[in-house]
Amino acid sequence: MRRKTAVLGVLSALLAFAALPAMSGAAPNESYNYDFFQNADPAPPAYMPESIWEGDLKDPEDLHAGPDGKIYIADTGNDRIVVLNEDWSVYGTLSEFMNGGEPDRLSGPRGVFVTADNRLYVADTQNGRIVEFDERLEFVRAIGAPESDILRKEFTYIPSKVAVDRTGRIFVVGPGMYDGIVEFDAQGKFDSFIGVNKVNPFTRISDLFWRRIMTREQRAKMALFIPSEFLNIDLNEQGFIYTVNGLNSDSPLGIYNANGVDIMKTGRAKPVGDYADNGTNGGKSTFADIAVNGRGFYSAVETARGRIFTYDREGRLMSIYSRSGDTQGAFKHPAAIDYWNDRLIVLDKALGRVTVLGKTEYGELIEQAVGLYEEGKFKEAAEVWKKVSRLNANFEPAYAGIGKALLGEGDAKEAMKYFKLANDREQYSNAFKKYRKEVLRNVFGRVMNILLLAAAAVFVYRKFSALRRRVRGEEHEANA
Amino acid sequence: MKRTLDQLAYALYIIRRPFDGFWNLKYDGRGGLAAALILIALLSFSFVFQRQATGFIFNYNEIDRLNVFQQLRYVLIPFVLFCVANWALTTLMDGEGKFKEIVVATAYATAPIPLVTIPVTIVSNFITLEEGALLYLFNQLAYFWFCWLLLVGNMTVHQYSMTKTVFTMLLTFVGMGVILFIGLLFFNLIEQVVSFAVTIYKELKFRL
Repeated sequence: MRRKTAVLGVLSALLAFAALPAMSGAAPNESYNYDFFQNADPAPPAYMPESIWEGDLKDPEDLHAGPDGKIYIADTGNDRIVVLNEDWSVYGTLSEFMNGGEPDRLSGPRGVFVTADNRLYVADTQNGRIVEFDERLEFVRAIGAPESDILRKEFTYIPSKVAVDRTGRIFVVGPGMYDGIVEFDAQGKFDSFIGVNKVNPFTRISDLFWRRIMTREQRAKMALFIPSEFLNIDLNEQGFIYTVNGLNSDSPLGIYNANGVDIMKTGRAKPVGDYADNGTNGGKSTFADIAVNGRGFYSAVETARGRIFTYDREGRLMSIYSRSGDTQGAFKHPAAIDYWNDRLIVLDKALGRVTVLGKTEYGELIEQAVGLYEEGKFKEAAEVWKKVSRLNANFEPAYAGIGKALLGEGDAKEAMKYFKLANDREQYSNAFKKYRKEVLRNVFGRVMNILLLAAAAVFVYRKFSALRRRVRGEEHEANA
Repeated sequence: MKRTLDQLAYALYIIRRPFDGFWNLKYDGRGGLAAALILIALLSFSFVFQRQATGFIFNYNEIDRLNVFQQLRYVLIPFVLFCVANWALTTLMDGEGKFKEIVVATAYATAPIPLVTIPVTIVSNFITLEEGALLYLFNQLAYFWFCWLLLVGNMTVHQYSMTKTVFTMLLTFVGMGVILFIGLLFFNLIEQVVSFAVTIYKELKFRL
C-alpha cells in the first residue's frame, strides 16, 4: 500500500513536470568568462534554462526554496505568499491569517525566508514587520520595528528582505536602512546593527569636494556621508551572511560572519560582476539577489543585463551565463535567485515567471573539482580539472588545479607550465623555487667537484714547486 | 663614428662624477647630439624590454599585446616636453644653456636607467616572488640616481645655484603641464573646427 502511494507520487510528479514547458537543449545565451587580464573569453555555461513556471503573479519580489523542496514566492502585488510543491503544483497561498484571534493580512510582502526546520518568515513590508509561520502556514508571531536608544531619530524601518540562521537570529535589510543589517535575537528583540557597509572612498572624496563649494542651504539638504544600504540577503549553512549591497558601496556583494565581520575572500579583483572597463553594453553590474549552495558556491543575478555570475568560496569567477530578453530562458527583470534541488531558480518580476536552470556537465565538473581541491585531494581534483579544461580551454582555475597536483607529485617543471597557463604568479613562484633548487643541486655538485679538484691541483702544484725550489737551493748551496 | 662612441662612453664617467662630467660635457665638448639620441633610443628600448622580458612572476603585462608607440609615449613625450619647457623657462631666468645643451644633458642624465633596468630585467627571470624586493630596490635606485643627475646636469648647463635649480625644476614641471594642456586644447579646437567645416560642406552638398 505504502509502496503504491510512493509510485503514484512519483507518477504525479512526473506528470507535473511534463506540464512545465521543457526547453530545448540549445543554449539561448552567450556565456563567457574573464581571464587574468579581464578579457572576456567565450565559455560554456554552468547552468542552462531547463523549464519555466508561470503563475498568476503580480510584481513578485522574492522567492526561497524550503528544505523539503517547496518553493515560496513573495507575490508582492497580490499581497500574498504563494507556496509551490516540489512538483510545481500549487500547495497553497497565504494572505490572511488569524493573529491572536484577530483576522490579519499581509501587505506588500517583499521577502520570504524558510529555515531548515521549515519555518516561514515573511518580510511584511508595508505593515513594517516580520511575520513567522510554522510548516502548516499557521501564524506564530509578528516582530515589529526595532526599539532601542541607539537608533537614529530619522530611522524608518522598511523590512524588505529577511533571513534567519540556525540559532533563530533574524536578519532584516531594507531600503534606506544604511545603519547595517538589523539583527533580532531568537526572541524577536532588537539586538544590534551588523556589517555596516563601507562607502567607496572615491564617493567620499568627491562628496567632500562638492561640500566645499556648496551653499549652506544646499549642504543642509544633503544627508551626511550616506553609507550604502543592503538590497538583499542570504545565509549559508554555517550562518554566514551573503549580501547584495547598494549602489555607492565599494563592492556590490558582501559576505559577513555572524558578528558582521567582512569575510569575503577575493582573488585578483573583488566579485563585481562585469568589469566596468570592459564596456559590455554599459556600466557596472547591479545585482538583485544572491544565493549560496552547500558547496560554498554563490550565484548573484544581475538586473540590467540579466546575467548570473557564479563564484566559488574563494571569490573566483566560475561562470557567467544567461541574458536579458523576453524569450524563454531570458530575464526581463530578475528579482530573486535561489538554489533548489541542485538547480537554480530565478524569479522574474516583470514576467511573473520562475525559470529553472539545470546544472550542465561543465558546471557539475567545476563544483566537483573545487570540492575535491578544498578537501586537499589535489590529485583527484586534477583529474576532474583536466576534463574541465577540455570543455573550456580558457578556464584558468583548471590549470591552477592541475599545476597544484603536479607540484605535489614533485614535477616542478611541468607544474610551472600549468601555473603559467593559469596566470597564477604566486604558485608559479613556488614551483619555480623548487625547480631552481633541483637544477642548482644537480649543477652545484658538479661545479663544486670541479672547484675542489682545481683547488687540490693548485695546492699540490704549489707544494711541489716549493719543494723543487728548496731542492734546487740545496743543490746550489752544495755546488757553492 | 669613433668620436660618437667615445661620447657615448662618456655617459659612464658622468654617472660616477656628475659635477665634473657635466662640466666637461658643456665646455669641453665631450658629449654630442648623436650620442644623446642614442642614449634616448637606449632608454626607449629598455622600457619596451622591461615590459616584455621581465620574468613571468613579476610581469603583469599582457605580453602578447604590445604597441611600441604606446610604450614610447612614456619616454619621448616627457623628454621633449621637459627639454622645451626647461629651455623656455631658463631663457627667461638667465640660464646659460642652449637648447642643444639641455637636450644633451637631459639625455645623459637618463643613462643609469637602461644601465640598471636591463640587467635587472634579465635577473628577474631567475628569482622568486620573495626575492622580488631586490628588483624594486635596484629600479628605485636607478630612478633616484637619474633625478640627481638631471638636477646636477641642469645646474651645470645653466650655471645656477642649487636652490635656483630646484626652483626651476619645479617650474619646469608646471610648464610641462601647461604645454600639455594647451596642446590638448589646441587639438580639441582644431578637431571642432574641422568637423564644423565638414558639416557645412556636407550640408551644402545635400542641399544643392
